[in-house]
Amino acid sequence: MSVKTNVTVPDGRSRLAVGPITARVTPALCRATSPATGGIDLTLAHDGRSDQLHDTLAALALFADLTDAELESIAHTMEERYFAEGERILRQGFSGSGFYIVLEGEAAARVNGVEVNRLGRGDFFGEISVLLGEPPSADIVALRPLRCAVLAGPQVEEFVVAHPKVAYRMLQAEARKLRNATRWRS
Amino acid sequence: MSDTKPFPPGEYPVVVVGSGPGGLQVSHSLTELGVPHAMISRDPSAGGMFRRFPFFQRLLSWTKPYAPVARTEREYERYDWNSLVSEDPKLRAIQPTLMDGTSYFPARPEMERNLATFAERAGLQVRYDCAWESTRVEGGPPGGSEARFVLATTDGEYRCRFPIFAIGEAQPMKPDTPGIELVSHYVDTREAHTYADREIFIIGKEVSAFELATGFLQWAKRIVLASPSPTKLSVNTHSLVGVRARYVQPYEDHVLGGGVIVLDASIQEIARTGERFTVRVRRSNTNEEMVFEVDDVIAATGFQPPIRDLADLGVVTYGRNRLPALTPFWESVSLKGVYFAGTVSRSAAGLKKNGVPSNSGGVGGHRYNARILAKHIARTHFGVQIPRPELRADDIVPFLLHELDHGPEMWHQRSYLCRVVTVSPDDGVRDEGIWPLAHFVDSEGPDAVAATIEANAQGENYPALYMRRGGRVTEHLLEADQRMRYDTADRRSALAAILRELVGSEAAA
Repeated sequence: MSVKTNVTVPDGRSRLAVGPITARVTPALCRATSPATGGIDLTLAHDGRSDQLHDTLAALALFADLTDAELESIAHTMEERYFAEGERILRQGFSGSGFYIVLEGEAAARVNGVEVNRLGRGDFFGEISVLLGEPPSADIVALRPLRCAVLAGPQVEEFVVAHPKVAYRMLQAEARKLRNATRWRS
Repeated sequence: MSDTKPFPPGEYPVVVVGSGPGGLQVSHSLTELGVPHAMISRDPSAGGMFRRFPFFQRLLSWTKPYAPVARTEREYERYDWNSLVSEDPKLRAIQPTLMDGTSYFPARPEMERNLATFAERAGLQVRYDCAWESTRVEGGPPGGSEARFVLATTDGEYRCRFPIFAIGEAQPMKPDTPGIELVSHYVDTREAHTYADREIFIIGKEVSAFELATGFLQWAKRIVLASPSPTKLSVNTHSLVGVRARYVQPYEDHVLGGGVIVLDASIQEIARTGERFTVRVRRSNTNEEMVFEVDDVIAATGFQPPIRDLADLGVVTYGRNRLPALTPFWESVSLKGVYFAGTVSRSAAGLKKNGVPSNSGGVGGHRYNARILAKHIARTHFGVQIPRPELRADDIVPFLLHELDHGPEMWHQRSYLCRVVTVSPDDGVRDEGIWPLAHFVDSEGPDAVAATIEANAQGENYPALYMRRGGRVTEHLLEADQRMRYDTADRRSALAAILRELVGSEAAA
């Protein structure tokens, strides 16, 4: 097996000849042609949705400093979830939650049923509960259909250590929250 | 020529689509509850995906022929992930009776026989070779009493108020990588010996990728597995997330330098170079580009449920696998009246506490979802009274501790399904049976307690109680136990103390 590392030389061209770049194709559906399908429906789906999550994450400030390859890795590490209107995403006082980034939709933070904040695209929540190992102090409820990227609580430490630039952006967002909460002091 | 097949096209209250384990289980459970329905299947016989897969012909979920509990008992189900479930003891634990002792993972033909035997003994009728092709709604808004879903099939049209799709996740899925059309998918993998002395590049690092790599170890010259995110192993995540233990061998070969390469990299492009392939990848953490020249490339990039035109009709989907977004009772959140059973029921993810997923992607988990779904449909749409046995207040503690020790539903569906006991002044104390935990914690209802098993990131299993009082639900966790036996004196007292608020001092008995 030839395993070669592709090194870019000063003239900008690659040392290695690879095959011609194939046009990017997105056929919606094509038939799998295996004769051995045993009557099982194996209609093949080419799917751009992993790229969709990648593209959605790429547009968020949290991930602005990452390379494409890092972003793709994150798009494969985080899980996409969908919440219907009225559904609870975090539950006040329940252990074992995760870190959520809003991709689409709107949610409310409620403490004992009283709304204290609203969250939209690009906002994230659940991190304080995960970092401190304490149950969330608020419910997060979908006000309309909500899509989120989710990282399970036990994965968060490894994630922020592996992506320090994301951790820095998270810190900036936390600092802004803190500044807004303590603005009266200055 | 007269039609001798069951369920000719026409109107039925419920139509179940699919004759894999999900379809068979929901049909049997509906039958037990007296809900009339038809079952249709595009296949010629029962078994669903197990008529052909897994590719290397042995399952990764076990059935222990010998367990601490007799096979005829419900509690045995905890040790048998593959048999379907029934109120009738004669229909229970069929899988262990069909295994030859070679392994505690049933062979694929043994699993297929298990499902076919269940269908036969339960007297399930299926209209085989009848393929669902398209769908429309007539008569009014979906979910209304006048609305009918019309399922057009190769045999004609079926009308029903409630279709249940148990259609598996067998539609191969490929990512949108340049050159991907040149490579075969997992489903097109040839006999393993045809890969002798060849170099194989497998796109993907999930279970199916490692299954193929395991099967190629004694044939392939070298194997590369690559995908953007790092490999997860179930033994490390302490859950069903990651590669199952049965297929970890290629990973060990990799870490010990045996020749398997496991790479975190995104696939940039695949090109044909004569008889071989050139695969260009970019490493996830260093951004370094690498090129591999290999004899075969296989996309082990997953499957989607073949939902056909349901998305056009209004079924919202999410994620890479285009799973339908479902309520805790496995109904489409956006198209009322459309239900899902079987593997697809995993898309109702539940609480996923500590990242621990449900076991709904496997028979051991979704067989219970199907049974609960049948009860839900029977109760809410057909007015069937589900038995709610009365308990004495001082029985609650031993009852719940027994369930926590032995209840197969909670062990297979940790923090997903729960045993519910309600307490009300008019109705007394009632065993309400098994419910989705997400429904219990997020819905109104009488004062009640729900019990389930949960797990943390360290892999400890512990009992969790959820108490609903005055419409508010609180969480109470009991201590883990390495022996996984919770009916102990200290937990008895802890549980009694928790329940005291609900039923007074009687629970302390």
